[in-house]
Amino acid sequence: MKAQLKKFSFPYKTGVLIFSAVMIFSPLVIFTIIGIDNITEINPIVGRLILLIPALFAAIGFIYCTLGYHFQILRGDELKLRIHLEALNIAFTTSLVFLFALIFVFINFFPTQLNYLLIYLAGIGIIAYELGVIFVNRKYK
Amino acid sequence: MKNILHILRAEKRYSQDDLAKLVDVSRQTINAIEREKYDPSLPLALKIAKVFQKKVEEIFFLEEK
Repeated sequence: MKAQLKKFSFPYKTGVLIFSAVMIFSPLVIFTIIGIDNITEINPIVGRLILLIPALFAAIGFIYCTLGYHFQILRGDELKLRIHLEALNIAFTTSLVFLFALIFVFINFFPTQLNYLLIYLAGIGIIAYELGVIFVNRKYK
Repeated sequence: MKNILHILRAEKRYSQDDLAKLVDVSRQTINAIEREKYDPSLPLALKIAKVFQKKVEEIFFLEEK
């Protein structure tokens, strides 16, 4: 299975990524056009499906892209892999620091925000990774 | 780690891009190795040595104190 995944080239990654991004926001558009009250009152199951189906497509798309970019980096240039790993290291450390800081702040001052801790951390992790790539890229230029 | 890659490349009149294609890496990688900002992996060092028909230690060596 792992060998097959390594050989598979994961085509159309950018297209799938755009499609997934569109899918994840499509319920907002559909609900705005049809009217959220109409759907939830007349047929709540349809409302549920409008949320579920695009979310499923988006999840499959994001998983496909994640695996695709992972194997692309592994197969690619070794300096790019090094930059990726160093940026990941920065992102992981930053996320860990923010995890403890946010837990302290949220428990003491905003307890309801604890529900959204993972979302905050995902955002922080992605931003730290992107900044890490820029920072590490400078080191090797 | 020091290296004489830029000298060998100039002798063979290869551009960074030519060498990068020969050893299957990006031009940025060759540039970083030449500027001694990045130490290549052993497989890459062996590939470079093969291109120039030299031993790895003739191209890459530790800085003398």
